[in-house]
Amino acid sequence: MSRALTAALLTCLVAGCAPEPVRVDLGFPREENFLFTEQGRLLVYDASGDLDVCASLLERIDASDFGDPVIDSDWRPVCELREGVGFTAPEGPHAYVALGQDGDNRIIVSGCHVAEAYADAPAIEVELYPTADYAVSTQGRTPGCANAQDKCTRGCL
Amino acid sequence: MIRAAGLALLVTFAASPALAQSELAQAESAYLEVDFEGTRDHALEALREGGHPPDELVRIYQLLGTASSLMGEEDAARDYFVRMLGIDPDAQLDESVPPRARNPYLEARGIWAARQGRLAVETGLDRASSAVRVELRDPTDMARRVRLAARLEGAAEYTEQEYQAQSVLAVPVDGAAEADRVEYYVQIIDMHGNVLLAEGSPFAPRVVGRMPSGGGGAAENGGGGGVTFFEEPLFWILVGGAVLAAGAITAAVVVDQRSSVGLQTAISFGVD
Repeated sequence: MSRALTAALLTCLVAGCAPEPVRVDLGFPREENFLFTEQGRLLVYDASGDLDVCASLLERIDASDFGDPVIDSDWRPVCELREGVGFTAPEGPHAYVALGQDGDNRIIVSGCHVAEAYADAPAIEVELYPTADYAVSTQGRTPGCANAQDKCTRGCL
Repeated sequence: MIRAAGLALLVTFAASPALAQSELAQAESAYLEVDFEGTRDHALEALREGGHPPDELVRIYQLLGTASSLMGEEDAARDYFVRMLGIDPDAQLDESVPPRARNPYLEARGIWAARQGRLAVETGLDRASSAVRVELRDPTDMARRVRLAARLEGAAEYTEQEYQAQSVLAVPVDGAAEADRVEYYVQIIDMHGNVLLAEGSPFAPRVVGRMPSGGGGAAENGGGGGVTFFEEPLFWILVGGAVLAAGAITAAVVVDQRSSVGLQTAISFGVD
């Protein structure tokens, strides 16, 4: 009996008791946009004082001012974000900012969404849009990979 | 001539652990350089050279498991992690190990959660046969030899004996039948000569026999020892306190886990 209780408690400790993580979905308009993106970054800012903080945040980031985020994934291969990178969710409303840059470190896609993460919350959808640099970055180029799976398993030429 | 022979002997004794240390250090370097094949090869060499204490052995298995996992050899990785947890049930992976490489470790933890018992030894004094009795529990069948060094309390020298590993051993100790107490240390050795488990040491030996009672004298217990600390009320008060503290910590961890929510990134595409 006590063994069963111990086993249940251990199982609970190792895996069972923690709630499922809330999915932060970075939505690219098209797969092609993802194929041109080399590095991705997720930043989370406190938005408890101003729920309309997205526009100003993206303006500041455009000027290379990343401010003081409560979570910063730093630039990392965008495929890592696709495989799933984990963070501890902050409490309360926050602005979730996602960025993608090309091989020349130009931000070519960006997006922002204010949401609150809590146990059993729906996915936080951050829709990404091409920036002004996207056209410059991709002009005359075709992606080296056919699809995202190829990009993240074999790498693009 | 004698000096040269002595030097050669010294070099022979010194070379083995030095090489083993060197292989482990090379495995660590290879791991830092993201050379997982090199990590595995050097860690295997370190394992085979033997002579490692339990903490180093845990690190060797950790490097083997992590490198194998990162090379996609998940079955081998799980087996290494099973052995690592067999030696140290609390062993954790480095934070640098990426989530995708942690599955074999989690599987190994699951295997241990479903398994009865851990690698352990229990000892007692068998006065009838003037021996220290060693009971070995080895669920993963890693133990090959049992090394026990014992001396009568007050004696200067230990007598070291080594036996093939088996579940119950009686290691004879001259004079143990009449002695109050016997001091000992015991080591469980794997097939390569690494120490899987060590109880006591030459400088901090364990003791079996008659234990001093609260009244200052020595009492004999039925099995040949004295009133053991298991019979002391203070022991059970301490055990009760420890159990309560462990329960409180466990409850705090569970509550903490329930209150913290994780985030997990993902990528999706709109309609093309």
